Amino acid sequence: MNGGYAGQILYVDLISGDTKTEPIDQELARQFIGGRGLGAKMLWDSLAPGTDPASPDSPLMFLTGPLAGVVPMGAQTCIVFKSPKTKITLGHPTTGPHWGPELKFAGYDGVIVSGKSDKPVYVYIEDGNVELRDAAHLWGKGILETWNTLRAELGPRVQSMCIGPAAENGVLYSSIHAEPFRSAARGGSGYLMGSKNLKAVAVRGTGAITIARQKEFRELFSLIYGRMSGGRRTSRHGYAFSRWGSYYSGMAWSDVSTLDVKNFREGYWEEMDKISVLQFEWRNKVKSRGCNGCPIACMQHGVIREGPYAGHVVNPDFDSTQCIGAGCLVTDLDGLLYLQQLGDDLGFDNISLGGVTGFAMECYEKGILTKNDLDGIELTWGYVPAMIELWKKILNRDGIGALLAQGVKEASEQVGQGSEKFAMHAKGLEYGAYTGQKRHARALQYAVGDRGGCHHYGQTWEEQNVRVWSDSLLMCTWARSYMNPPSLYVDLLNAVTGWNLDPGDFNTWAERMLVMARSYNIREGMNPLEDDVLPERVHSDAFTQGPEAGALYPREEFVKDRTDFYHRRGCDDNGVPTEQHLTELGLDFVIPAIHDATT
Amino acid sequence: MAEISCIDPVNQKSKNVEVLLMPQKGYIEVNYNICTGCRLCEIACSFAKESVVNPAASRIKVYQFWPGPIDVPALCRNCSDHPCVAACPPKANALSVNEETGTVKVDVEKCLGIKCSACARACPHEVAVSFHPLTTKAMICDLCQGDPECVKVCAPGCLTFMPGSAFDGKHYAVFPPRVIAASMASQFYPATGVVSHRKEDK
Repeated sequence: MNGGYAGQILYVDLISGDTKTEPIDQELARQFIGGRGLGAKMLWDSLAPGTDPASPDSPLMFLTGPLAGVVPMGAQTCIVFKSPKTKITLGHPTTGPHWGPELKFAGYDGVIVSGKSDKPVYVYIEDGNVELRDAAHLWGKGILETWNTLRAELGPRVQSMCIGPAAENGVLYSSIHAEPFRSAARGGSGYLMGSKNLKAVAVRGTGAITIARQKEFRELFSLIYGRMSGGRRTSRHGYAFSRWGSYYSGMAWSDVSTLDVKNFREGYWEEMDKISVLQFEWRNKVKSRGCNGCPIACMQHGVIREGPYAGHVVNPDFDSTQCIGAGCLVTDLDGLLYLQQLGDDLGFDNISLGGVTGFAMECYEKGILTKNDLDGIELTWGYVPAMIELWKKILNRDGIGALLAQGVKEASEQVGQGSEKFAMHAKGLEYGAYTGQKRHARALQYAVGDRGGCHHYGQTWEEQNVRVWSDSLLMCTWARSYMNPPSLYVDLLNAVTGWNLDPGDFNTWAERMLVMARSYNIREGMNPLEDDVLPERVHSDAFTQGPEAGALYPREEFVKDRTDFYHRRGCDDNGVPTEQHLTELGLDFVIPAIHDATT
Repeated sequence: MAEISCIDPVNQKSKNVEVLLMPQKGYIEVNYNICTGCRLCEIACSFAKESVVNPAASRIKVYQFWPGPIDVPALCRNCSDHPCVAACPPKANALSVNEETGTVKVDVEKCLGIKCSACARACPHEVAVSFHPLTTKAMICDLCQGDPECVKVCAPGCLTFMPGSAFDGKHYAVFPPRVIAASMASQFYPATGVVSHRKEDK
């Protein structure tokens, strides 16, 4: 490898404790780049069709990409696995801030963990040395304590991916954290890691990543860096993110009726000001922090200064915090920040946790769940102490918590009584903090996204392409505002690796990676027409408040938009990629499996 | 003369411009309060000095502390009495002071490397001297001859190059990063304990 890639992938088998390295396949890397793209292909090859996603065979792949650690905003790690949450799709959450680059400096493009240990262990990677170590002393500890303990034991510059008690206890929507407040959470990543009895993967690397074409790289680096650092003062995105972080979007989306309010019942909330980012900035904010190489620095850390939750360090993001905040009508900002910090430290996927809590609150309001069902918890909208009690039950899978720990899909199937209508998920994965009655593109991406109801898939065809490139190169997807035209991604990749990909092929590469993921899901049992759907609420519960009162997404319109999406992605009317399109993209090898799955 | 790259405002392409750099005294001012811990300075420093990206070989290092979070950039603070130079064993005599710029110069041929570490032990900042991960020789910031790469990529403005002056005080910023972090944490966060980091950084 000339540059960009570290050149090898580390395999860890938790059953035997063996580790081995294999060089990364150059040809494969050219086709699928890395991270999310390469992960889908590797999962297709390595995991037998129809395997239970939580079985020991199911691999957990921590993958980086060629740009991680070397360019501004190149900070991410993508974790690819078959999702235990949806059971029929990929999971590919990404996270910063420093773990992925550190892994590359240790000399690996990825770590693939398979098998299951019989006792809690953690993996320690220090350049060429890889060890499995006993994690008994870490088991049961929260994210911050685990992270700090590993740092104290292993050294000041060690980065660790770790899970919290939620994952250990088998909550299906638990997360893997790369640092307190930074998690790769969606799709049940933590559950899979916990089921392997793997508490953490700690890394320290002191090696180098080479750059193939230095002069070209230097020029592109200063161009992109200039746009980003200038953007801190001159662009709306840069200014808002460096000052407020993504949490600012709460107010912005409420104003245009796209925010998850009251379990996705409304898009606009007149009490939004009480938990708005300006309140946060005034009352709580301490400092901004950035992921590896990020000139914007959108993590806004703060501290709760007064009240019953005083003393906790917090870092609210948009989707995770507003699913808990506006989604459950919490008007107490300090309480909300505490909830966000609590869910994070326990290792929940806060987006799903907020969705589940909102669902339970609506069930309670409608009398579907009674106080008796909830073991005496008074689960009224926005009541923070009740939410804390409920979360304790979910964490310990105690009483109603055992059901809610499965997510809204399973919970609604169990409690019935029409709750399916407002169980806000797609393919079993709870929604991000956008509701789709007004913004139809938002709703469509939840329906057709390749990991279930997630905000990360992209609303337009172009955005989807850019996002899959970002997740494969492992740059932050927010870098896309500064990467215009998108072929800059290819130029940057060429400069770093010394390849000569044609920037005009940008969309072909993106298409290949996206169709690969879609094909994988179809092989694992996704039936597009049945699974690419939205809950009834989006089609029938029109907004009653705000400037867009009356808006909804009629089913016929949704079906038409979905068919348009299928055609644009080279699929037939049933959402299955056509053989011709697969052949054009060089994905001939998936045709037999797709054929078997759909006939 | 040195070449620096800048962006042409008309066509948005980067171009190289030759500039004259005067050898002069100076130092890098660090505003600890606003470091975001992005470590772009480490990337830029290692790329400028080693032509590869390798934060472990960077002359500036950002230390991160929890509880916090607090990020503390650490680099040579150009003490005017140069305790590292005084500590360098006479048989090696690898460190010398560049009188024009006031920076410490490392003669990698003579340096005994990490097994000696006398300069690092003498450093009041504890981590301003670090050791190259491959050659194990000492690395000390040389201010890039008056055009520091780390300062150019510090978007929040935590690092500022102050040309034409140097601190005359004996030991500016004599505190090691963990002490700086502890004092900041007590102001910013109610947390009291800061994890000690002083395990030999490689």
